[in-house]
Amino acid sequence: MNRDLLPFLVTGTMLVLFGIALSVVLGTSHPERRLLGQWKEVSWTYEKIDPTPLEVTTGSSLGEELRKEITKGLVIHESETWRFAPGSELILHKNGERNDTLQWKLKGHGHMLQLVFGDAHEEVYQVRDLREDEMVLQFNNDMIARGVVRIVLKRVTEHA
Amino acid sequence: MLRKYNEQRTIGDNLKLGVLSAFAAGMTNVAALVLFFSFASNITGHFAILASEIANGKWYQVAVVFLWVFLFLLGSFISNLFVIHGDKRRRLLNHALPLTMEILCLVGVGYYGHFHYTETLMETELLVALLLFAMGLQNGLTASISNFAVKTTHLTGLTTDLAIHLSMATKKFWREKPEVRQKLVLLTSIAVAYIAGGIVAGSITSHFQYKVFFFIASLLSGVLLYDVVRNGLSVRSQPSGARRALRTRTTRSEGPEAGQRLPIPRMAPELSSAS
Repeated sequence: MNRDLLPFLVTGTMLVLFGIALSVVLGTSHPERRLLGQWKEVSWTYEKIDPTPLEVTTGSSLGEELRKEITKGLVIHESETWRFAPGSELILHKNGERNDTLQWKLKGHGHMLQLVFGDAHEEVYQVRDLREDEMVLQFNNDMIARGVVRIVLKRVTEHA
Repeated sequence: MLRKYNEQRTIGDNLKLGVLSAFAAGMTNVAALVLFFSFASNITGHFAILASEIANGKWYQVAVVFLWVFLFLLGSFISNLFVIHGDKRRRLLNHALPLTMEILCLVGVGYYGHFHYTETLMETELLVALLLFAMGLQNGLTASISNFAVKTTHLTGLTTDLAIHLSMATKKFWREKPEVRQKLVLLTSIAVAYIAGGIVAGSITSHFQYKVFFFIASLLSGVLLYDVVRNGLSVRSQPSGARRALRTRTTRSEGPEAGQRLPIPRMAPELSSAS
């Protein structure tokens, strides 16, 4: 290959990739739109990092007591259904009744879900997966032993 | 700090430029992490995220992260473009332009963040993109005018260089070379400044929020004004000896060979390490 062509080849490739990336960003359903709607919690899973005397098997589903212990201080543990509404409003429901209302924001490259409560208290979750019908959130926990709690939610309704 | 170019630069010039711009980069990076949940100066992490998102088939995220990396690259490209294509008689102006653009980007992020930001994902992505472009401008400029001696927005290459120089210092022969000792001082100072900037940003960002970018812009304005106040915008203010040296030693600024590295006398292959 002619060596003089190499810089143009690299630049051209970068520009083509730039064009493709731009069209993907503009043409793909935005994560914020995908998040809108009602989601129901289907499972909580705990993946521990540190060994612990307490028997919590890696990847096991959390029992109600353990779940309460781990999520002490978090608002979401008392909710079963999350309704993401336009205007950054998140309404949490338990047993069909409104439990709490807060603000939601997606940050980073859409991988961080920030929840802001009325008293400006914040909780941040990592969005591991966001598909049409399923969302997987994750948060770090060190209540019992260092580990990751994975919350799986299934879509109940389309937009709020 | 900015006026001199390449071989004319002293260790003091590189030290001042390196420390101040690394401090600014460290601040920008941590401020972006706190406010936008994304790094804004270290590209290696973004490449790793890019690969990870490709593996997971998350194409929207792949596209966003690619555009961020591209903007960092574009920033560095534009910086070097100014350096090698600008009027050689107005070297300081050529070097000041990328820095001015960077300051405008930071002020823009601070202004938008403070007055208009509603924290939507699209806004976050655009503001991070602007910060990455600004960091690309800074890194391209400092690396270009210092003959690749000063890189301030990430520490991967710097840590490698530091390790190499530290290992060289285990031999008396190299330890006695002033170039090795000076390089060690420069690399350590840049690393410390970057960390210090990060610590300062981590301490004040939650209080000052987006106004922290005004502070970073002020710091970089100081870098800009230092040479302007001392020498004006023209290279003609340089001592005549330095100008003569520029004419005789700088192959980089002459014609089609522009952009080539100068034939620096090397002490050993180790000193031309990857950075």
